[in-house]
Amino acid sequence: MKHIPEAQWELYNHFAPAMMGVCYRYTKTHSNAEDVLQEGFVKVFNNLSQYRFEGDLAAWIRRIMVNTALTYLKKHKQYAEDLAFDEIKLHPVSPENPQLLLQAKEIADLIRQLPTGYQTIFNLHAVEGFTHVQIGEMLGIDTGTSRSQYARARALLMTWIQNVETVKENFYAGKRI
Amino acid sequence: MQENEFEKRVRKLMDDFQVSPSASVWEQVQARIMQRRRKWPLVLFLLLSMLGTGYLIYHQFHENPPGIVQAKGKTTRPEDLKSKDDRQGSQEQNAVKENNLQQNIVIKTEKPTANRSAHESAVSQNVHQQNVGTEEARSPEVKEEDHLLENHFPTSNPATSEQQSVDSNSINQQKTDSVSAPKTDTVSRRIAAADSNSEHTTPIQNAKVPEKNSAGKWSIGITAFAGKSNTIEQLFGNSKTYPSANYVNDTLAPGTTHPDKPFTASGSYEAGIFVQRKISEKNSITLAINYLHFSNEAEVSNSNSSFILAVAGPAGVEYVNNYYMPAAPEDKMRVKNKYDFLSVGAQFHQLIINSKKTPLYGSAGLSALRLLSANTLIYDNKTNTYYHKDEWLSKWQGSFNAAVTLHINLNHNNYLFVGPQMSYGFTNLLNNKNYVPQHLFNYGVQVGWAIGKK
Repeated sequence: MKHIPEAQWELYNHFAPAMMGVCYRYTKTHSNAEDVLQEGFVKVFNNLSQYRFEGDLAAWIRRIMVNTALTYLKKHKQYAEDLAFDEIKLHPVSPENPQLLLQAKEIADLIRQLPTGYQTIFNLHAVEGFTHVQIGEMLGIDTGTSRSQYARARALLMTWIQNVETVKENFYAGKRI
Repeated sequence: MQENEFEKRVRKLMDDFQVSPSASVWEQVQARIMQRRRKWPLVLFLLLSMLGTGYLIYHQFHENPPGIVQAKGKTTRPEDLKSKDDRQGSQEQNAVKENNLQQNIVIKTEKPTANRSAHESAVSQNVHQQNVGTEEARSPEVKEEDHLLENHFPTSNPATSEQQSVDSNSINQQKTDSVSAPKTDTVSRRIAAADSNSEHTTPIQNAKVPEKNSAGKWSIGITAFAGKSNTIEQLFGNSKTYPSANYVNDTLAPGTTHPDKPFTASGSYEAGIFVQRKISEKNSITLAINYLHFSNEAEVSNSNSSFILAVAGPAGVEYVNNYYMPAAPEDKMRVKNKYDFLSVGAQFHQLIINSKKTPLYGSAGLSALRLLSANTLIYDNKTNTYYHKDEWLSKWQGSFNAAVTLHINLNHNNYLFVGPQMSYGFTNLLNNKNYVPQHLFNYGVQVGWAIGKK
């Protein structure tokens, strides 16, 4: 496949939308997401020989995309500053649990609104399923920092989700806010 | 909703979440994969070039050191020919001489030259018959030796036939030795026998020793260049023939007029290594590998990305959404274009003014340039705009170069050189025939240092 453009196109065409969804969640703009997607697929094609056909190909590509996104965030100034995980900027924890009636795109857009540090840790833990120990190793931070950042990210996101859901409920009920 | 359920729900939603990327992402991915693939031949080419050059230098400096002169396909040191004391060839000759003297083969004559020729002729005939029997059975080595001998001693004169017969007795004695002697001694014996017959001449001394000259001498060196470079439409003349503006996007007005010179010259430098071989007293050739940096500048107005510009790409219409208009008096900025090349070239050098300390050389040569990277603005003469389209640049360039260099001989094997140099890319820099051709051009001063084997 490495030297067959048609096969490469088939692979890209099959996985690009889902992988773009991954990149979309880790970045703030569509353009940045496409940059990560492009970089990720270049790595996929250049390292395809390392794929052993033992696990899920989608999971392997997704892992490359996540790693590429993390590298991108560390490398670019607009993200790198937020990845310093400054404790002063922490948001308060909200106890509320929303019903989560929103669509995937709406959730993804809300995740993107989180500060980069929160956004990254939320994606890694809640969506990718990494433990806080793994996240600590990946980002070079303490496990405790990862936990607290996640808790605040989650609370902030829940608040926003609840607000959006309230707005939507009122909208469909014909109420004015 | 419980805490774990929230994560599960988010994960489920995000796993199914898809966004369609724009078409350009695949094009860029493909271009980068191809770019990586295209680097392999270049890396291989460079590797082979370096190995080849290294082998050439090693071979020349270790197996055929400069100072050794070539004579008839055999390698002989001039000092070997002159010295009879400590060289094997001379020892053999001395041994044969002594042998002949013991046999009292001393022939005095009033015509030493003719006598020598006659004697040599007899020696040749006898030795041939005794050693190998027939002409067909003789090895190429023996034939070569005969040829050498004939050159040293011209064919015998019939008038000396009487003398030949006188010699024959002594030669017959010599034949006996020749039968048992190795073939490789044949020339030495014949030369020595002839030598012993003459009191007036010494063939070894009289044999013309090739003069020591520097032809075939190898040297290696480093070179550097600094100057200015630009892209030009042609080397001589100024015949711009811009077609009328062809704006696909109707909302874009032509606006400014075409700039007189789309680009102005900027800094250029190069550095590299070379290996040089003297092919005669006045000429030499050089093979060089250089890294070259070219640059030039465009004076443009601020970026205008309000419109999408449709332009004529090499394979069809392409769209540009970030381009520059030519500079206006009140609104201008300078943008530098940069090109990095690797070149492999050959150059011929001709001595113009001979001087022991500071000879002057003229040089001309051809180079193949491989584009390593570029960050440039293309000037689109149809839409009168500048924009980035590095993929339109030809990856390979052919270049002609000429130089005049003053050599400063530091010692016999070591010299510096300095002088003006110019080069002109005779191939089109743009891989897009829709636009006016662009050629690389640079000029400046080169300096270098070369060292030969002592």
